[in-house]
Amino acid sequence: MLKATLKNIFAHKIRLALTALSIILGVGFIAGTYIYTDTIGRAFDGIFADAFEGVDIVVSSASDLQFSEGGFLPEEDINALAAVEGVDDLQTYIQGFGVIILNKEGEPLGGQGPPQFGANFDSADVAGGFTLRDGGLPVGPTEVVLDAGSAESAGFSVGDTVQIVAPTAAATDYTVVGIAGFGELDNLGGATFALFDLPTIQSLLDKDGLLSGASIQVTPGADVDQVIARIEPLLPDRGTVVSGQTAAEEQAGQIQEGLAFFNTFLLTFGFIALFVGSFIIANTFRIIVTQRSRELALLRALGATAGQVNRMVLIEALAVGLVASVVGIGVGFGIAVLLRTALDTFGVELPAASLTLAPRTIAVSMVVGVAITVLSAILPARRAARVPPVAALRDTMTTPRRKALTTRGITGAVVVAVGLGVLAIGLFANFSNGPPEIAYVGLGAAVVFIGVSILSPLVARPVARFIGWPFARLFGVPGKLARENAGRTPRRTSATAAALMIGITLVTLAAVMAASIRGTVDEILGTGIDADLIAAPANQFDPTASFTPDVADAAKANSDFADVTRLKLRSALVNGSETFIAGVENNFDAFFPLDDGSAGTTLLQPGEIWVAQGVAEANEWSLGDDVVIDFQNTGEQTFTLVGVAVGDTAEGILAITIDDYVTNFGSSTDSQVYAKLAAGVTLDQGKATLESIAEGVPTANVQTLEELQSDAEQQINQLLNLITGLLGLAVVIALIGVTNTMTLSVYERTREIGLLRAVGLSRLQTRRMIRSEASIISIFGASLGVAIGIFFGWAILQALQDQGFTAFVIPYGTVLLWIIVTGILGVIFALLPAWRASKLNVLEAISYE
Amino acid sequence: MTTAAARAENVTKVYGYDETRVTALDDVTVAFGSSVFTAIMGPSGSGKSTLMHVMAGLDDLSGGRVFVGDEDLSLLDDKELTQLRRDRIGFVFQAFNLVPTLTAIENITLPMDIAGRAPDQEWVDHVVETIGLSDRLSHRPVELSGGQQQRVAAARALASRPEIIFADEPSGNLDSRSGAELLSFLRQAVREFGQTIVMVTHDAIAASYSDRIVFLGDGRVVDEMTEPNPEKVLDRIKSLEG
Repeated sequence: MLKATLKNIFAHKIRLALTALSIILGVGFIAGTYIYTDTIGRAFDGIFADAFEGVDIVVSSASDLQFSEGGFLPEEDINALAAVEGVDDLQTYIQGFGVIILNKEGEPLGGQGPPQFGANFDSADVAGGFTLRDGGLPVGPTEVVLDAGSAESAGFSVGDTVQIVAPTAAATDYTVVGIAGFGELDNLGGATFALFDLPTIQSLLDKDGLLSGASIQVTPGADVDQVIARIEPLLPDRGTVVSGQTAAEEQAGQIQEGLAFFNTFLLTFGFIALFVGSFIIANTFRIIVTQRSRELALLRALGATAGQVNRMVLIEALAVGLVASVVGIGVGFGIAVLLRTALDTFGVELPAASLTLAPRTIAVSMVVGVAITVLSAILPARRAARVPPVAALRDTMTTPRRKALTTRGITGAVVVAVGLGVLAIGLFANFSNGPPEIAYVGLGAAVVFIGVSILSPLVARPVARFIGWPFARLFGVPGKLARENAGRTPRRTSATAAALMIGITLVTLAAVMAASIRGTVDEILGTGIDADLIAAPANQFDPTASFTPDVADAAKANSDFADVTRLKLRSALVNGSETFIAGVENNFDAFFPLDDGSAGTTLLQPGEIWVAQGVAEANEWSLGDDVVIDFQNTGEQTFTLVGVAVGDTAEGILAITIDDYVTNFGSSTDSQVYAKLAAGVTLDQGKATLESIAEGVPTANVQTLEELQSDAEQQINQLLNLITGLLGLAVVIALIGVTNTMTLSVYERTREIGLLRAVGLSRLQTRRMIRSEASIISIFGASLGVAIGIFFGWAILQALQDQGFTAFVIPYGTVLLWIIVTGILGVIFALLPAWRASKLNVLEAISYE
Repeated sequence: MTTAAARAENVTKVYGYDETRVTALDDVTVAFGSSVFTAIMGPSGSGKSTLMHVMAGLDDLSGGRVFVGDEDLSLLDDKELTQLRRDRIGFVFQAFNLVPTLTAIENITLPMDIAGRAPDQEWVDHVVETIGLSDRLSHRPVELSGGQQQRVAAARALASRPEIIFADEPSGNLDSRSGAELLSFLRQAVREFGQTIVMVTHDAIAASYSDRIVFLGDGRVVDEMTEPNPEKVLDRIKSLEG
């Protein structure tokens, strides 16, 4: 039987190659993701190991916060550690966000995601890993050393003058005295670094007398663990001490965590692609089994058992899966290189290293690729085993046993219901432990897809007729035949369409989410914020980016503005999880009209806090309760809850007074400034005024509310485009399924095509017939996808309503475009089978059995 | 004999190369008269189907020339041949004559629909009535018996009033009663409508419905007979084989 199986594989190599392609692409994407992230991870491991070489002990401030530059420790406490027995050399360091290098045109460098660091650079061989490439160390308040990446991109060299903005200061001139690299790297993943001597950067960061930590070399022969034990009791609050090795591992670990997120994000798309691929494999094997039923029956008649026939198909699937997975891993290398190129283009420089193929990558790729192929072939294999021996003697192909319509309907409905149930659990339930909700959402969606694909053959015929109507009108007989053909094998049409449905559902979902989020943003900016102008960092993704309070002070003093308010934002721990705390002024509610659930949001006193309703409910707080906030610098502080605010604009907010904020965060900088124009001042005038006030403070980027809105929309659109692009893989795989189905259909209808050609169908008309059918099937899939995508979008937005996503917008234009584009893509992916059909030899085709 | 609706001049058809070389038609010259029901007979491998295929523009020639009317088929490209088949030739094959997704009437008007030509409704109605399928027109092929399917195929061949109809063993898959009905209908089409039909068959009874029989053997025309009846035909076959 093995011989028969292998012969089959060779006999059907084209069909199987197309099938394998769907697996190759899916596995390739998964392998590529792993290879890429492993490569970066390993490179970073090396970099941090190098950076901490010669550093025995690292003292730093403990931080559980992601959106924070880390804590700061009193300078005198750290310096005192130099006297500890066994400490040979102690180098203090400080680094913070928001120190921005301006290029020669006065525009900020970086800031598109990675932070803009300021740090000290007092010794050429300390932790932090900077090494001088050129020039010398910075000394005094006017000297700076730039990271090599920034220096190169802006064209600065030693001796140049550079303008730098800091949280506490507007743009100021500095002399570039040196260029530094981070090991072999020019920069760290796109972050920029401006390096000063210690007092200068302390003052720029508004951290006089504070340090981030220190790196220590022990005296030769001293035991590192013993020295650590001696240091520990001397540390100030929140100080931690670890060995240099541990610190290197921890830092690399943080990178790995970030990479893991990136990895999961990309893998998701790989698995979606494979899920789509599984539909294609199942469909291909089903069609092949049907077409081969006579041959299978002959084997049965000659004495093969049903089990042997079943195994024959499964072994075929196994072989295809194995080959495709191996090829997929090879393709993975190419995809890894593509990913690197793509990120390089976006200016994110990651360490170059030779590509890493971990055993785990091979294992996952092989197991996933083979398992999906074999699992998808199980049902077709069982069908093959059911072919009766007598079918060998029959003249026509055995008609597949059709499941009774009611059985199909009930099965499909039950599966859809189960899927929706799981989806609902994921969306609306709150688990304190167990798998994350998103896993339920994903699983539920997958089950819904399967259910819909079970149900869709029931509607395939009428829907295909409906979609095919314009084709019949436009193309005459070829269109009419295409319309009939699309409806004649509902299962095949549905299975092909279902694969497309998945991709289009997700694309539609992304479009609906993006449109709805845009809608929510519009609502908030349109009605939620009562202001004319805003000054805020251009990089909205960096929540710690902030600027000098001088901007708000000057604006308040300017007569062009009727009212000005400032907002400060930093994160702290609330009940163990990182939460943004806002420092607000008492005119806050003049800008953010709150549907004030209670008094108290307007006149906040020190020690008092008001929060959004959702926050109060989530933490089970009521008015008068104590709210404990764990600050990085000052530890746990208790506030009295005096107000609960209702309304979109207050969503998620915990507001304290500016004084409390400055005390606890040790930061006086503002995150956002809002201004209302005085009577008679035009928007342009007001903007010009605020811009002149914020001159030299590029982090205080002045925008009208309308500009802010279009900026936000642009960012949402960018993300939408990225996700749509990644989903493109799933759509392409589904389209390969269209090619596959059409190839098999042409093969199966050889005689019919021959007949049509004999009675006068031209080659062009033949091609048009096949292409139209592919288009009808594709549009069917896209329509299903659009419908489900809109529904999923609606369901998810229902679940997110509590979190302020109140708008539900269907982007009709976009989804209509997707349906049309999919129809056109269907035509393109049917070019090959259509060409083959038109080239059939009429005579051979007519006499084909 | 009237003018020729189609004719072959010194037609040769060779398949394969060198050792596998088979001469299917060897210098055949024959003409098929207008409004005549001609049968081509011969044993398997005699070249009768090949002759029909080259005359109908379904297969190309190794030598000689083929005319449908005054049109020299060897001068036509694929597109022109397709149009010729669509507009000037009718076909009835042994089996699988109908497009399964189309109804009987849609199959009947198919060549004209492909051409984007409106059928002569009166004529189509007349053909359908003559063939006795008026009540089955909206049925799809699977809902028709084998005999009905072949009659639909014959109606399709007639509906566009082609210059010539080629029928390849049209009754080969039918029981004798259905076969007789179909052949009578074909003969009727020639007698009443003046249709030209060329039918390939190896069945003496089927051939006896024709006006004239051309006998082929080993790729050559070996004999001819007019006003045949089954006995005469069988005798002739025996003498040819003997």
